[in-house]
Amino acid sequence: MHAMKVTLKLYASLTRYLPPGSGRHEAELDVAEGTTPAAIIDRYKLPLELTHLVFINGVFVDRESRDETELRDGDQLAIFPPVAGG
Amino acid sequence: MLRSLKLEPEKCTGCLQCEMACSYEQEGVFNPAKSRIKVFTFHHEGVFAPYTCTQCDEAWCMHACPVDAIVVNAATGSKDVLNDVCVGCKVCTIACPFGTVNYNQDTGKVIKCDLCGGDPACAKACPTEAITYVDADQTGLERMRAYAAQSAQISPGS
Amino acid sequence: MAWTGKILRVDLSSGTCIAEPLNMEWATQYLGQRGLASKYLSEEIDPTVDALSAGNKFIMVTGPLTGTMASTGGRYSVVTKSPLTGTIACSNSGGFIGAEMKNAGWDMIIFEGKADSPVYLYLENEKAELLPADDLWGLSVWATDEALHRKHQDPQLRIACVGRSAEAGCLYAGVINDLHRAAGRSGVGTVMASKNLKAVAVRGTRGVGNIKDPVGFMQATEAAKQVLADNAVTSQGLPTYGTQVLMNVINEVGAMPTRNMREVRFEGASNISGEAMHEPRKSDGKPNLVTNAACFGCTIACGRISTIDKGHFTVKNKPEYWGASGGLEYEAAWALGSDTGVDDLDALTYVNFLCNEDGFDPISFGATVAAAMELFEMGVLTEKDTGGLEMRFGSAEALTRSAELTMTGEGFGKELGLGSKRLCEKYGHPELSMTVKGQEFPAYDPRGIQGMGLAYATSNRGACHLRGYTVSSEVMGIPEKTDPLVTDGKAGLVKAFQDATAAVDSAGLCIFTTFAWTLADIAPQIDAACEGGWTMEKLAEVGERIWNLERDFNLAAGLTGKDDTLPKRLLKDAANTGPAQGRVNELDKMLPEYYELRGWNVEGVPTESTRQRLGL
Repeated sequence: MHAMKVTLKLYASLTRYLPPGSGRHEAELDVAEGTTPAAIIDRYKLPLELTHLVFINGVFVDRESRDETELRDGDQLAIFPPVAGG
Repeated sequence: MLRSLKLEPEKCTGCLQCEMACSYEQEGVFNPAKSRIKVFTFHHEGVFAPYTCTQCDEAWCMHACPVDAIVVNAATGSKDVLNDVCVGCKVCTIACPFGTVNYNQDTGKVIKCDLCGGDPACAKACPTEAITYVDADQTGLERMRAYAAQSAQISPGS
Repeated sequence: MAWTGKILRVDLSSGTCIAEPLNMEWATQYLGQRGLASKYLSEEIDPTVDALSAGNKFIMVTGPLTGTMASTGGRYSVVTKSPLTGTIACSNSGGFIGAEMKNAGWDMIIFEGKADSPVYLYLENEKAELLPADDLWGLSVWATDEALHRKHQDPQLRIACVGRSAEAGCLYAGVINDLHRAAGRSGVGTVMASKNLKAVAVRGTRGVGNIKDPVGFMQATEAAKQVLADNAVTSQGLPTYGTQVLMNVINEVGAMPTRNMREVRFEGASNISGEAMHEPRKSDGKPNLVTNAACFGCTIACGRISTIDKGHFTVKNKPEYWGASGGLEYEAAWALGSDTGVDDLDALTYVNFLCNEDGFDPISFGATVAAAMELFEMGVLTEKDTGGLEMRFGSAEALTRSAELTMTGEGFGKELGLGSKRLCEKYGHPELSMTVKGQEFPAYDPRGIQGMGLAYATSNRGACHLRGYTVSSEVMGIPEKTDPLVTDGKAGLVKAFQDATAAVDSAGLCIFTTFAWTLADIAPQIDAACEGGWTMEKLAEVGERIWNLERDFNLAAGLTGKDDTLPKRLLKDAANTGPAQGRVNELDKMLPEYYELRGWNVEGVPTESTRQRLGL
C-alpha cells in the first residue's frame, strides 16, 4: 500500500477543524490507498451533524456511501455544514 | 429573589420581536409603537440596542407623580402605573432621566414597563437572549465572568 | 382576520388619496402580498401598456402575516409591470416599512396615473397626503431618507424611495426601504420614478390586531419559531455567514457562473465569500462584517452589516462611506464579483453600498458590467464608447467606476443602466446577454444545476432564483437531495417550488424560512390568523393559482412559450470544468413535461380545464 495525496477542504463552521498550518480552507493530506471520506471525517474529529454536504471533486457523496467510496490520488474532498441561502 | 431585565446590545439583531410581544401582552395587538421596550438602531455603528425601564428603587417617576398613580409592585419590584388614578399630566415623563415613561395619546395615560407582573413577554420572545430576566443582584455576573477569563489568560504566569 | 381590510388608492394625476375596502373574495383566493396585488394589477391594467406610462400602476402590498409575531412576518412587495422585461413584476423586500404600513392600517397602496411634478406620499395611520418632493428629486436614497426624517421631525418614520438611478431611467432601479433593504429586481423603482413618485413615508401606531384565533396564533408562531431555532441552517449558517455562505459551496459544485457565464468556477471565490467577510483585514485588523441584522420580526437575522477599509482606493478621503451599512448578499457578491472576475471584497462592498445609496439592482448591474467586459475584450466595445473606461474582466476599478456612473446615469452609466440585453443588442451581440425575458441571471449556472435552467426559463419575471429555488434540493439537500446533473423529475420539482414560493410570498413571510419550514409549519400560522381554512393543500392550490395568473398576464402582454428559453451559451456551450464539464442545460428535456404538469398546452398556454380548475 502506498500513500497518496488528497486535498481536504472545510468551510463555514468546519474551517476550524483544519490541521494547523493549513490554508484558508484547505490542507493537503497524505493518506493510505483505500481511505474513505468517513475515515477522514473521523481522523479530523469532524462533528457528524456538521458534515452535511460531502463532495469529491464537486460531486455529492451521500451519507450511506461515505465509508464505501474510496478516495483516489489527487482527489478534492470538500465538506460543508448544513447551509443554504439565496 | 427579585429579578431584573438584563439587556445586552451585542446580542440584539433588531428584529423587534420584543416590541411586538410587549405590545401584545399590554395592549392586545402587535404594535411596536405602544411597546414599553424599544430597540434602537445605530446604523453607522452597526449596533442594535434594546432599552426600557430599569425599575429604579427611588423612582423619579413615582416621586414626581402628584396623584400617586405610580406604585411599587411588592412582588416584582416594578413601578406600576395605576390607570384609574393616572390623570395624564406627564410630569413623570419629564422626571424620568431615562425617558422610559411615555404618554399614550390613545388612552390619555402614561405607559411604562411593569415586568408583565413577573414574567416579561419581551424576554420570552427574544430569539437571541439579548433580553433576559435574571437575579437582580447578579446582572453583571456574565460580564464579570468574561473579564475573569480574560485576566486569567492575560497573566497565565502570575 | 389579519388583513386590515383596507386599501389606499392614490391617484397621482389628480392628487387624491382614497380608502376603499379590500376585496375579501380575492383575499381568500390569493391570500395577500404577491398574489393579491397581482390579481388587482391584472384586473386593473391593460397588460400591453407601456410600463413607464401613466397607464401602468404601482402597488405596495403586505401579507396577512406582515406586522405580526410570525417569524419573518415583515415582508412587503412592489407589484407592477416591469420596464425591463415587459412581464408582471413582483419585487419582495424585508426591512420595516411593510410592517409599518400594516400598523398604519393598510393592506395595500395602489398608485395610479402620474404626478405633474415630484411628490411623496406621507401616511400617518388614516391620514394620507401627497406632498411636494421637488426638493427631494435629485437626491440619493440615503439623502432622501435623511431629509424626510428631518422634515417630519420623526425618527420612527419608515421610508421607501427611489434614488438617482431610477430618476435617470436605469431599467433595473429598485425601491429601497429602511436605507438598505430593496424591492430590487425588474425595475420596479424605475416605474415609481416614472410616476414622479419619489418616496413613501409611513408612520403606523394602530397596530395589527384582528387575529382570528389569538391564542392559537401565538402557539403556532411559537412552535414554528422553535423549528427555525432548532435547524442548523436557520439558527447557525444564515445568521453567522448570511446568504454568502453559498459562495464556496456553489463554486465547489462547479455551478458558479464566472466572467459573463463563460466559466463555471471562480478562482477568487474564497476571497469574496461569507467566511472571508469574517476575516480580519490586513490593513486595519477589522473584519468586513460588523454584525448580522434582522428584518422586522425575523428570528433568523441573515442580514449583513459591513464596513469598508478606510484606506481602500474606493473610499479614500470619502468619510461618508466609512460607517457601517448593508453588506453583501450572495447574489450581489456573485454578480459584482465572480461574474465580473473581481475578487476584491472591499470593492464589491463599496459597489453594494452604491446600489443601496441610489437604488439599483446589483444582480442586473453586475451582470451588465460582465457583458460589457466581454464585449470590450472582444474589441466590439471600445474606450470611445465607455468614456475611457477599460472594461476588462477582473478590474475592480472598471467595476467601481461603472457603478459610480450608473448610480446617476452619467456617461457610459446611462447605457449600463439599460441592462445587458439592450447593451448587447446595440453592439451586435445579443447572444452575449445572459438574460431570460430581458432580466439578468442570478448566481447559479444551470449547466451544473439542471433544474434551475427550467426555473429560470419559466420564471414569470425573467431570470430569477426566487421564483423556484431548486438549488435548495439539488445542491443543499433541502428538503431532500436530488442530483443536480439529472433532468428527470425536475419538472415536478420546479413546479412544486414555484407554487410553494408563491404561497409563502403571499403570506408576508420570507422564503428563507423554507430551509427549515415546510407548508406544514406555515399553514397553521396562516390558518390561526385568517378566516378561510388554510390547509397545506389550499396553500399549494393558491400558489398554483397565482403562478397561472402571472402567466396569463405575461401571455396577454405579448409573451409566448418561445420566451421560455435560455441564452445559447447555456444550451450549446458546455461547462469547461467541474462535475458538469461537457454538459449544457437540457431545457428541452424538461420543458414539455413541465407544460404538461402545469396543465398548459404545447405552446405553454393554460388550457381551459386548468383555468376552470383554478378559478381563473
